[in-house]
Amino acid sequence: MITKRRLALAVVGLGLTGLVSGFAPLPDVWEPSTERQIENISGDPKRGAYVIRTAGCIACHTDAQNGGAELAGGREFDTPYGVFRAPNITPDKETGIGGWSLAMFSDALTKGLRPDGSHYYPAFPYTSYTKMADQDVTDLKAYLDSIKPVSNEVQDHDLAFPFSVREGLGIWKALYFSDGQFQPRPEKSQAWNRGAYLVNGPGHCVECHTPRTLLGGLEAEATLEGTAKSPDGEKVPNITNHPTAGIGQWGEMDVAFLLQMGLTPDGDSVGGSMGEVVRDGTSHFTQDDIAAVSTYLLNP
Amino acid sequence: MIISFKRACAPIALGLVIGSVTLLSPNDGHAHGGATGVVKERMDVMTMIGDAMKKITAMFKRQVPYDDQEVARLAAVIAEQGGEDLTKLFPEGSLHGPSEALPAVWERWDRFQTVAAQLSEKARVLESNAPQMMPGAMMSFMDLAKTCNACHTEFRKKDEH
Repeated sequence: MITKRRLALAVVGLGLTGLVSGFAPLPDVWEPSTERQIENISGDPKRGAYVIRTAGCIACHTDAQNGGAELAGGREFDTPYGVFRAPNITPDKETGIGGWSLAMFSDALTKGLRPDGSHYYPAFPYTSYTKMADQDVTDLKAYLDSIKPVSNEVQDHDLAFPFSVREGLGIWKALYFSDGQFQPRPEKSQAWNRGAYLVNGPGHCVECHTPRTLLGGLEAEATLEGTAKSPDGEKVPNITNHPTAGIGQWGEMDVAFLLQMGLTPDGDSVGGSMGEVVRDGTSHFTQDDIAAVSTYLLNP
Repeated sequence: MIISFKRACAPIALGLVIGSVTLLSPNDGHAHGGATGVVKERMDVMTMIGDAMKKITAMFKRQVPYDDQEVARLAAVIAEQGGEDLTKLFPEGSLHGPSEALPAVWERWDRFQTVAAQLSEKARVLESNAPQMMPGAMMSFMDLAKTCNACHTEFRKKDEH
């Protein structure tokens, strides 16, 4: 990792020099560390209908405020880097992902790669989705293939320089992205491992509840410690089990009530981005998955 | 995000709030971090609802014994705050002071009215289902809490402090 980071930093310097002087396109320094054998797995759309709840796809990929169709994209995210627009992930062949193979879909989620091989911006949380099990990825694809295609051409992102240089994302990924599936810890319970998988993988809780560096990478040493200002300007609470700064005083019922209904222990209702997470995601979780998340968060 | 309505609120006993003419006076501006007039009125109503929800929650979490009559009473208190009684506290453009309302309240007024009406409807269902804690009252309570979440998600500012 250190070697990779040094290499990336060196390339940042070279790349910026190249950009300034108008030549030498940025070399791609990121490569996936694992290969996934996903082609022979068969997907179950019914199970995928649950996976999409665990992965929180609906809130971001639906422009609900402007009456957009579910998962047809177009929702805008105004960040310090510029405006990101979530793409259409319905199976429309022209404007959605209807023409994608399972391998393309898996590469997007788990490697942050577009079908043309270029990189996604990490506004798409592949840094967490990479931990998803192949079966979940396959079931999710089967579900998305089964829904109604919606024609909705979504504009590209509108980002400020240098973030607008997509080629630079390879460097970002070398610095901040390690691909690979979730690895369970055998000494922990099944519920703990399921909770760890949901929180760090599909649920991508870490993406909002962890502070970011200036370049937008997650500060690994402060995982789930919250941030005074997320990329979309929101204050996000600490959900570690710290007794005062975090939720260490909460019980499993407190976590369950928040995930199922959005209710905090003081009687408030969360609203904001977490309100969307509850509405479109966690309120649809099974009792076992709610308990698993509680188990992991309260005793990570 | 989580405690914003509570933060800086003077603690107001539920019994004092109910039926208080002072509370609904547009000139009363001593609490809620400088809120005045109608903004303070609605923040106080939200505090009242939150207090009632907290008390009911404690029973469903079995932190205190389940008391069906108390659940019904608190549900009725919440029901009385919804519908037009709630929407009238949101005159167009009332975004002054520490208001946490989003312009979406007026941009999508029909939807706001619908959710405000649902608050009363769901609370009335909880009131009538209170005698049977599980599953009837619990399911009704979840429905009610999801209505709170829907409204806060669509119409309350994100916490940007």
